[in-house]
Amino acid sequence: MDSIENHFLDTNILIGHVLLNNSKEICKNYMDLKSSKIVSDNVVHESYNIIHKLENISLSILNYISNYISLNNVSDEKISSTMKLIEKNFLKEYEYDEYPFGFTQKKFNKISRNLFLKYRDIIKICIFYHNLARIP
Amino acid sequence: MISNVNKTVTDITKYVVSSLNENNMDINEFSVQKIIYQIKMDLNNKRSLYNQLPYYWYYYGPYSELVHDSFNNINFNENINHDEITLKYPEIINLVQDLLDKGNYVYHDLGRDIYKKYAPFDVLYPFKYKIFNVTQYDAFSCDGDEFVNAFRYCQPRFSLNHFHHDFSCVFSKLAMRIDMLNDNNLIEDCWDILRLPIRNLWFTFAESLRVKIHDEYYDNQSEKWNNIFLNSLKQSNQEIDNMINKTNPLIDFSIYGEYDDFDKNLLNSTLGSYLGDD
Repeated sequence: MDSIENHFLDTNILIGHVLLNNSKEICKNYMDLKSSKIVSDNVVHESYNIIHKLENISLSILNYISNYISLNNVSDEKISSTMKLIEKNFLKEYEYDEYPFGFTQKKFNKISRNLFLKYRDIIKICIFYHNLARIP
Repeated sequence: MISNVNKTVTDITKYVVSSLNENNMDINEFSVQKIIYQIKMDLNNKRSLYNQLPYYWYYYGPYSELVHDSFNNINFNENINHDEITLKYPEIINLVQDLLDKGNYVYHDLGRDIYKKYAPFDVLYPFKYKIFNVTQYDAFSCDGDEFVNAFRYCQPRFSLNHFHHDFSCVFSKLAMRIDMLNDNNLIEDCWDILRLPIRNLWFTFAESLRVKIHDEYYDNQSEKWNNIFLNSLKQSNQEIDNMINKTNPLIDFSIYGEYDDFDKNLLNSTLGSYLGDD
């Protein structure tokens, strides 16, 4: 089979596992098929692994941030610059790891940068409220 | 040199066993292992025993094959006289006395303290005491949310150690399922199905641990250990898959509803960037 087609199938399984309700049912029914199934079990396992790896990355980032703000005092004016610093430090920790979380360096950097970008506002609000709770 | 160390270790083991015997305390190998490990750490870098007595981390904490051998060689039928044993390091007498004075401390809290102080990774303590220990009982005796939190605490910490990628995938598979079961209040009902895979996952982790964290003395065994670990990882994965298949029909997926903005962002930034072009 063509590699492009393979990739297309991977994508479908990946998304099918993550999506809720109807699509999950459709995906599950397809997986239960004994015959006329194009995708091998290996592909399914690999897709599952990718989901769990992604989950691990996002949890480690959130974990890293919560560790940082509980150990350091971040003033309200410096939240933006601190966010940049946290991102830089987090990526630095995996700089010399050949396959961080089982991904290539390039892909890992891309995923974590994207996460920081999409979550910027939410994390800022979290730090702000964390500071508010500290005031005696 | 090795025979010298053997003699020192045999003497220490004999001394610890006879002291336990004198105080009418239970003698079992795991507590002897832990007491001698504590002695080794207390003696510190100043004494050569610190470097010569090789240990690795295993199922129930630090474990040494030398101690294991000398414990098995002790003849329990004949009375071991306390005074006949000449220790190479006399300060051990005080160290053992201090430990035994605390009574039951040796059996309960010593292990806990060793895990807190000397464990190579901070994930070991919560994994052992908040997850594994719960599975030792037939009935689920813990708060569901607390149990899930322990999983969520451990999950991101595996990957920081750079050699647990495959293991952490299996672990998060389990964590995800436990979370779902907790949402449906099913953990107590499914405890029989859940118990064994969780227990075996801890044993698998301990096997992976000794591949990397061991003293130089055991270097030539690490390849053999790695194969054992890979085999049991495969088995654990299979067990967890079976568990997931068994619990699938019980879970009500409809309570999860639609994605909100937060979830959509997460999907976009993780899956989207994984699938997207480089």
